[in-house]
Amino acid sequence: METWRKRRTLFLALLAPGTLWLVVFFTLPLVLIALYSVSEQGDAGETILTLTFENYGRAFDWVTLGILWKSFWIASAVTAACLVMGFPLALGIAFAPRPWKTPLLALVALPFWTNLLIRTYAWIAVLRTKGHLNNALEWTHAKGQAAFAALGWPDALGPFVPLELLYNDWAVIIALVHIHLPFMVLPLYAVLEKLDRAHLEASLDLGAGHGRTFRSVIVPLSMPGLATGTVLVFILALGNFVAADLLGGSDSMMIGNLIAQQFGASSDWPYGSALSLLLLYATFLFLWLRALGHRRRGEWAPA
Amino acid sequence: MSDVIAVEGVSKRFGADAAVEQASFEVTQGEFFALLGPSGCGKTTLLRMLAGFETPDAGRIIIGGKDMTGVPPNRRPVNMVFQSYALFPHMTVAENVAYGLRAGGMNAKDATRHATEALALVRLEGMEKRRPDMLSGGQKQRVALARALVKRPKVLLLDEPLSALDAKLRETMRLELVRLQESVGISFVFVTHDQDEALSMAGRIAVMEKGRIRQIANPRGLYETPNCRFVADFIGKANFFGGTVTHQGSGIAVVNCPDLGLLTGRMERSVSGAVTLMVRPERIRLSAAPLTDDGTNLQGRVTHIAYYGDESRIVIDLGTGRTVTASIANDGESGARWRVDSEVFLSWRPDDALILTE
Amino acid sequence: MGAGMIVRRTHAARPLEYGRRPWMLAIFAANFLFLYFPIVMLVAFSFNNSRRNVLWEGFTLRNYGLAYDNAALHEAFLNSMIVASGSTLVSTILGSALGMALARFRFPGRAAYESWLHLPIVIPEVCMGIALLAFFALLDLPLGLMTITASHIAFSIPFVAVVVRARMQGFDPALEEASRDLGASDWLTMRRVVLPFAMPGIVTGALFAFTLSIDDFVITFFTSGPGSTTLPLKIYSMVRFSVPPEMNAAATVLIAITVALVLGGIAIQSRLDREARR
Repeated sequence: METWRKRRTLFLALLAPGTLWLVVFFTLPLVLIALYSVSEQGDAGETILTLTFENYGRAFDWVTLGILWKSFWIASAVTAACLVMGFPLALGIAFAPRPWKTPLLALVALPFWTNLLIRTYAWIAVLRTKGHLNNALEWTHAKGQAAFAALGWPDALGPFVPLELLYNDWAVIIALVHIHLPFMVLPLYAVLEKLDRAHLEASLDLGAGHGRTFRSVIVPLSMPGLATGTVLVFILALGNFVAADLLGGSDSMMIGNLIAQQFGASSDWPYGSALSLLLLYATFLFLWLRALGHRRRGEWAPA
Repeated sequence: MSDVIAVEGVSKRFGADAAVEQASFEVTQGEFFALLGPSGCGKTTLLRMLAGFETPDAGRIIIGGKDMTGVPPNRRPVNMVFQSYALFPHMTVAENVAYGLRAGGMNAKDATRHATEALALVRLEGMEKRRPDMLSGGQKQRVALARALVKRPKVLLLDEPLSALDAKLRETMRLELVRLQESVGISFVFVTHDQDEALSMAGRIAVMEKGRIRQIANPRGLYETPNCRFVADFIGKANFFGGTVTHQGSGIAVVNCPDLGLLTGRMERSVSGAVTLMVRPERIRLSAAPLTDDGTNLQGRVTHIAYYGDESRIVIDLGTGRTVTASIANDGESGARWRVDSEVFLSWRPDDALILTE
Repeated sequence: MGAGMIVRRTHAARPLEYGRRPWMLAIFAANFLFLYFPIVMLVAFSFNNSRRNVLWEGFTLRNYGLAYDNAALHEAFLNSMIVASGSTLVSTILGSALGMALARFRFPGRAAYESWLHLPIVIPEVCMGIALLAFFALLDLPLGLMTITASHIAFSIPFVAVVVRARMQGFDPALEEASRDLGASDWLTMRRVVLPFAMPGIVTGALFAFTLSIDDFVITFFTSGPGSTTLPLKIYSMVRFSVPPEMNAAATVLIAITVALVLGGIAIQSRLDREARR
């Protein structure tokens, strides 16, 4: 790599236009909402910079705290579910016979490339009262009913009552897991693939079973990928607002929805900006924690 | 003396390639046994089958009197020292050594005590708290040894354990491994491609080629009485002469070699037809005039002399385009006697040449 | 060889071949069922001959016809294509240049610059969306295709830069020196030596940018105005208010486009890998 001073013109020609675009259409807007977050709304709806912290204070009233808490626990549940589902999947792919690996990885990644709204809509079709899942249950119920009737016990199961699967927190969690599972599997796969098989063989050779090998060797050695996947899924799920908007119930509002609301129906931009900055800070906090963990393990973590 | 390992007709294929074919051998209690062969000969696969990382397609593996053919590695009374050592990077030295004991259900206190003792055995006192990446190659090697030995296995398996060390350290570790093996009394099965390593350490050596065990013998037996051309060539240096047996009797055979005439050599059993006669370079005597005993006599011209310090290797052209290598000790007298282009007579006693049939 | 393949398949699983254990196959099945069931059902029901689209009532292509005749969908599709083309063109040029600069030059504050460049990838989309909305409102820019495109360019640049930089890290600077040594001007060297090498990375980056743009909902949602409805926005309003029968057909078309783009990207990447190995 050469120093930029050697070819100033080329360096600036390559770097400046993209940087300028990002400064204008990314950094300046963020600075603007940082300013809005310490502003007040005038009577005519205009925004006046007053350096007030009131907007942040409003984020700590009970209703908002409830929404923040809900966002936090939904994001945590999504992360946990992605871990439980994604770790064995990543392990299986990493240890699959070589020709299977790329197709399996592509199968994991492909849904990620399917439009977010389409996937959310697809879940509505599955979960709604007259959705695919309830249809399947109804069909099973009818068959069971008929079987009992044939045994001389009519209406043994009672009338079919469809499950209320949509418009609640669980529907939001299911959709968010579906959306974010690849973000857990791919970083985990990357470390598991590079894991030295001799370490696992040594563990088995020393008398540890597969369970102990998993706990004492595989998990600690895949920490970098585990941390990346966890942080990625958590911050993405935390900031998502489409799933809660379309699949959640009236009480399923997450921080993303609250922010969107301030810039839509409620039209309270200073408050929305303050909430956005809180979400940004939370994101940075988790990214920073991960970087910190990375550095502390740096002594042995695979590069 | 009882067998701790019996390998009976074990075969293993990977796809279309045979990695191990019909391997059979026994390892006795307290023995230092080496599997020796060029890379790709199947020795590591055989070792991995003993450890349980590969399952044989045919044959049985008996360890400590029990059939272990299908038993997973964590339930076998053997432990392994890996080529890369495979020390757990996230654990301290003591944790590494105690790992197997803890996995076996031992409580933390006893496991730590045993680990400390095992580390003392490999002379690593005071290193308990270090992490593997803070150790030198030789120290890692010792930790790997301690980690496997602390389990008191029936057999310790070693996969090229010295290959990652530099040459000087390798020499020291050879002696140390032998000392360690004698003091713990555990059988060692050692895989190596380095014949010097096998010859200097092992009690018995199995030489493998292309998945097959060609010969099992002690070092002297392998060097002096190889049973085939491959073993003779792989262990040490050798000159080979092809020919046909013309006479035989009382352990000696006479072989007619094209262009060279009649050569004599010792035979292990009755031979006939086409054979190969093998002579080690140091068994060839060189002289300025023909020697008059009942051995073989040949004549040639020196084409090249390679000086190795303790000995010199002299390449001699026998006139027919065929060359022979002889080695002479640089003991101050014989070393300087030959020059390139010297005319020289070669001879050997019948006992110094060996007739090979394969 | 054929016999060998059979032997390979039937050998006993090694202790670490987790991928071949029955419980692992069950985990694969469960995960892939979860990942694909909703999407497969959606695609399947786009061929359903039913007004209410709840139960399967037979195969038809009518929904595709309806989608094709739906003027609003038509317009949304056109808008998506305009935005994606514009955004891809600009972000590919700017992002590739950034990627090349990063692969090539050492400069003070490089690490900080890179963290900053990665920010648009990691920060919550909703934050970037509302920030852009506030920004455009402050400048009194009318929301529409222009503002959407400008925003898409902003979030695509880092992705293109990352892909192109990865490619350029494999570039041997001696090639450039050789070209200059042979008397080529800087411009000729760039055109005949550097760009051809970078091209696979640039194409992959462009495909990436195009896919990101036609798929984006959140940022588009905040930066769009009347008359600039893109396909994802149209789908959103359809899902929210009424689900017409052509909904599944439109969604299937969008899925097909992205899958084709991604597979195209993978094909380019693997051809590239093969070339690199040669």
